[in-house]
Amino acid sequence: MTITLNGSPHEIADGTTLDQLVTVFSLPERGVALAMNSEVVPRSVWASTRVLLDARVEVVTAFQGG
Amino acid sequence: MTVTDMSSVAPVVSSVPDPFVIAGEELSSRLLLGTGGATSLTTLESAVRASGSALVTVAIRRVSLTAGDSVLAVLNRARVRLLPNTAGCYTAREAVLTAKLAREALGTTWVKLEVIADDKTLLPDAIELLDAAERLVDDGFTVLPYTNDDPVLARRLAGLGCAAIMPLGSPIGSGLGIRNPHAIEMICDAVDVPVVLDAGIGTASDAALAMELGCDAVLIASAVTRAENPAAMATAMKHAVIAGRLARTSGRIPVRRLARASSPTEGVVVG
Repeated sequence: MTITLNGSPHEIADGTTLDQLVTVFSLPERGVALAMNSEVVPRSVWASTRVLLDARVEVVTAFQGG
Repeated sequence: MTVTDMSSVAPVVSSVPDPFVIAGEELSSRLLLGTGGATSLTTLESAVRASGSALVTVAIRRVSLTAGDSVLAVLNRARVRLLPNTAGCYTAREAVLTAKLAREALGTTWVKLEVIADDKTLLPDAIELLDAAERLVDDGFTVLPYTNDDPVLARRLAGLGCAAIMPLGSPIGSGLGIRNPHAIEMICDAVDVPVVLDAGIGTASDAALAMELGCDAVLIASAVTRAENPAAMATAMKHAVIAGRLARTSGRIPVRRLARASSPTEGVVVG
């Protein structure tokens, strides 16, 4: 199925969970946060949360900024 | 003739405690540093250390799949507290989501709330700012809003429960200094929470002026990170903030229209 990860379309397997998504895309584990369809998903439930069809997933971290 | 050996004279140190506290947390410096604009993380690290700052801002952005050493690693080494911002947000909705992501990513409820109107002026959008501030305060955040130099808006933000008020001196990154010192003074009088002059500082005298006007602290990014020598400018700002604060609390002389001699007026040699 297709999702949008940080603004770009990606194909992932049906039933992929959020923690699997982070692993598949080699995203950093620490200092990051994830939102699916504009709702923050706490890390504690990544393993039990499946990526929804057509989901917009944002994974963010800290950058230099005033 | 004997000359006093200054090394034997005890240094005069102010014994009056002057803690800087935001939301019950004491910070060891009245200089807050923004990390945007530094050309490298090495430069940034030396500037952060030279500034003596205890509270340093970061932006929240999408993870890059080609990230190297992160700003987080640098700031963790410098042992400073992080203040995530919502820079780049144009609506309350975006700012609230960004603040929640920052809380989850960095484990802090503190947020520098920025909701800007357009990318030309980067001026705060007061309507969206108030909306976002209210929602974030209700959600348990410690909110430090970047706001206009408007005493009425400052009072409204403080009334909502913001932990500090951060009025601009002039537009972000402009280096124009404090364009309306009177408004900044009025804001300091209008609210009971700390006032942090944020944005517009160009050089050390601007930072000192902010403190002399009554601000509790100053937040500086571009003036340090984009200086030719960021670490040296960070040192200058550190001293300027200390000097301005001491001047503010030391009772300056009243301004007079005419001279007042400081030497005795009697016993003058007559030629």
